[in-house]
Amino acid sequence: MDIDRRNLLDGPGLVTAAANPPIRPSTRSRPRPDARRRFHQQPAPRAGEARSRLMTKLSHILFATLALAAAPLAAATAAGPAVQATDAWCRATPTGALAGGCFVTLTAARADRLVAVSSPASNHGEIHTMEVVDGVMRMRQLADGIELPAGQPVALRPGARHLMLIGLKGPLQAGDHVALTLRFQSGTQMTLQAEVRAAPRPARAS
Amino acid sequence: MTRLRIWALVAALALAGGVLGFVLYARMTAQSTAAQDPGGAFSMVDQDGRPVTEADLRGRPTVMFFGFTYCPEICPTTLSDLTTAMASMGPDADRLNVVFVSVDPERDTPAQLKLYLSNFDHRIRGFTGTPEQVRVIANAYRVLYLKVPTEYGYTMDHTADLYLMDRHGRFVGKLRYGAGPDGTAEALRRLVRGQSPVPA
Repeated sequence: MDIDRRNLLDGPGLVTAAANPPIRPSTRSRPRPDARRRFHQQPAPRAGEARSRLMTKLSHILFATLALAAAPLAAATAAGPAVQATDAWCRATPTGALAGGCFVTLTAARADRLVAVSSPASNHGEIHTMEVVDGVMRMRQLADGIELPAGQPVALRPGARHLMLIGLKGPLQAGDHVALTLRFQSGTQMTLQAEVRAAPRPARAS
Repeated sequence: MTRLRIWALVAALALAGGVLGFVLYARMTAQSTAAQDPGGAFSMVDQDGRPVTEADLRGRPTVMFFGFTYCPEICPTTLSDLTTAMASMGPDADRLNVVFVSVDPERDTPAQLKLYLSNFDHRIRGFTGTPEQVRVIANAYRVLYLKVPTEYGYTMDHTADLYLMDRHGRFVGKLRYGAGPDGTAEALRRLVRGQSPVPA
């Protein structure tokens, strides 16, 4: 996406009305220009910890192997999936809209983190949060994804955290279904069929 | 006797001076308040690529909303509330200007605005322009907007209020985001009738 890259670096777009103080990123959502780092960066090793790190790594590998082996079984047992997803839906988009919001409620059996979303309906997927503060709408990408505490349902919903489909290949029309692939820090990956619904009334702005 | 007259004259002059001073002071205050209100001169293009200025809006009250077509929620919600509100108003809606102003001129060309606005009431007009033209109108309306990079592009923070202006282009009030179709219709009706808006 050369165009996006160029836009991202463009200066003149960064404008605030002179009569207003410049908007500051909210403390809750630090801007992360280098969002891709999270996939590559490991904490710097410390000399004395090499041995224990090796052990940890081995135990991780062992655990991962067991988890992988157990995965097909898990689906068939009463233990249930690692992350349960309910009420997945996307907001119907107007013709010409190139971005759309999707929502889902996630419950992780063990503490986990939603780290990525993708869909065949769009070129890209991002995890965003949104808020209206003093009449100003602020949207931020959550580069660290969304924390999922063990056993606790986390609801993504309009006016708050949501999945953002960027570069829609066509409008999302009410009644259609959109495949959403969610990736979690644990390595779990799932594909959902999200129903496209006409926009509900948003909660009144507080 | 003469002395009394002189004193009376002095008192009258002092009173007149005081009144004049107060009137001048009140007018200056009123002017400085008006100068801070949103509104003013701008030069943009509409969704058909035609040039527009603040003069094109004179003669009818105006509802102005700032946003961008990549906006996933606020903008379609507001535009759909406006559409519902305008439908409920009947011919009264013809007596209004309803304008969607893009704060994202890089992506919102007139053609993109036209396509996007085709989803909503056809009386809603779209304004865009050069980044400098957008800066001017945003400054005039005290609108805040900011380009925020994301992994695959950027998004725009922006003021989500609706600006209500009378037929002379004077600021009447703001309607906060989230008023819903009914609240929006009520605000639009009051604007058409020249009533002051319900306080937010």
